[in-house]
Amino acid sequence: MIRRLAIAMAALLVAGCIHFAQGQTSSKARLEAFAKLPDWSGLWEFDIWTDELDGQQMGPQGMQRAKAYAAQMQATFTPAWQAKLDDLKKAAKAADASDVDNPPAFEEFGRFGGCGWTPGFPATMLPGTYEWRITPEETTLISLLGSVRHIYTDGRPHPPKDELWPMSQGDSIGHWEGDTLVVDTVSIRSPVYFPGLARGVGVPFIPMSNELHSVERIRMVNHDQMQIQFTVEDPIALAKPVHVTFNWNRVKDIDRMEQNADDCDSAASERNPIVNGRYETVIKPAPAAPAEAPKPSEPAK
Amino acid sequence: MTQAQTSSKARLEAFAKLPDWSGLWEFDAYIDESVGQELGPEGLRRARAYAVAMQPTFTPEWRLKVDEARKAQAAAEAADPNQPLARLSPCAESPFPATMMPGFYEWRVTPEETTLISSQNNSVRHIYTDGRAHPPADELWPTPMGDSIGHWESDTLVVDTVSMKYPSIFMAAEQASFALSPLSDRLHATERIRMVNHDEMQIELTADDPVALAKPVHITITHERVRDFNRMEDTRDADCDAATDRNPVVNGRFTIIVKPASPTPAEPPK
Repeated sequence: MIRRLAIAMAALLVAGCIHFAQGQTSSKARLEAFAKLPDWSGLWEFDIWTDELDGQQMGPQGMQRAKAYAAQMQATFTPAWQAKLDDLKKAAKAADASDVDNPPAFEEFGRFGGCGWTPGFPATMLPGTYEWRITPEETTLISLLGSVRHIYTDGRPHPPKDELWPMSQGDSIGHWEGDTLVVDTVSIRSPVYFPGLARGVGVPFIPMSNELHSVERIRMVNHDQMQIQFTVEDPIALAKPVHVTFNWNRVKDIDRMEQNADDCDSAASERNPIVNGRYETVIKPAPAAPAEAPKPSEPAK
Repeated sequence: MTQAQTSSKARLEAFAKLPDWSGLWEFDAYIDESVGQELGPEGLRRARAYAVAMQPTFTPEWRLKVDEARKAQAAAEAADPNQPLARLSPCAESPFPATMMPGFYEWRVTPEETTLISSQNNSVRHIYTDGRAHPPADELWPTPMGDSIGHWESDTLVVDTVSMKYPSIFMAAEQASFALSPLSDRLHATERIRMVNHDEMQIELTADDPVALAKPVHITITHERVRDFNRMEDTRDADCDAATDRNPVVNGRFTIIVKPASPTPAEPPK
């Protein structure tokens, strides 16, 4: 009797364990959905950094590509928005001229630039290293500049207007068309247009309106290249939608994501801190050489 | 072309063995969170239990440091009680292992990596499960989340974390509130993470620090499935905008902005 009970108990335990383990793993439908998704694992970066020089300067090839992107990005603004940008340009010039040695740290990507800033969408799609995390219900895009885009692919719509609030990365929903992820983004807080164009027209950044709506078609065209086709429309700021295609290349020389903010430290180690809204290069005083030691007899100034 | 883009057979088989931790999770002390992010009665009871479990035994040298830091903090608090110190500002990232407690969490589990994203300042932990080791010492640099590698033991993710910058641990403070206590850069953490049922995740954390801790700290943290929310948020979106933040941090202190009342006709500006 005891033996039978022990066997029954053991069987129940085994069954329970199997059931428990199975309960934790993905459903058959989730596994089938995962099998249809592309494998975008690895790290990626905007292809203007392809021949990046020391000090984060673009190389000749990168510069050529950047110029081509800048031409694509040219936008036609509505007259009212253009007037705003003209005012901004004047203010930027005046701020530059007032203290040429300490350039103003303008709010380039939604918050003040400098160490630790995180660009808002859509500007977040250009600088830095990126990592995709793809599962059936969501695709997540993590940037080394501290932004995380959650693109929900479980069939949900955007929330109703009374439940939407503006966020730096907006609200993104997506669906798969074959190997292409189609993403729709709305409700972006203080959206900032791509900075390449901003520099092209002589202002440090171009704010867009909170009516900005973006559609992306994202696809890995081959093992080492990803293509992002952007359509940005903004009935308040743009006279017509802008279409631009970015290429990202697979990163081959590092295998771990990093965070830009990790290198930000106190003012003690920052060589280019922002003080009162301006970059200030810290030049450490050179140690006094024996040949130029202060003379003991010289009075202190 | 399309086939080449999808996962290899080996990757699909590996994915099939992994648990499904999708959804949002939060520290269970917030189970009955009241308005204003105050803990409710059940949350407070749990927080007190955590506080007891978390008590570290510091080495004598580190104890002195902690005591001095507490004294300085108490003095700073007393100096301006109306503007409390912003020790746990939502605009500041909590470094590991303290990052495992506040905010919402989202796990992104795939064969080569498990990623943990927190709503607290969008902190991201990359836990590599592709069999790699920690980088050699001369290629490691300290980061707030440290360098994490992991492996799966059935449904349990075992994580090993080193190389943390300014590591800190939550520890009990008065009235079961949580305070951050710094640990040394020798901190080594091991976690065993498992979804014990559909709505509960258990994180067994062992923190070993030969410089700061006289003995390792063992603590089990429970995360619960979030049911009333279906989107991740970033605390910076709501709390860190200087224009809209009603309680901005100025010089390390919360400063409540009281907008001046508009002058009434009876009291016109002089």
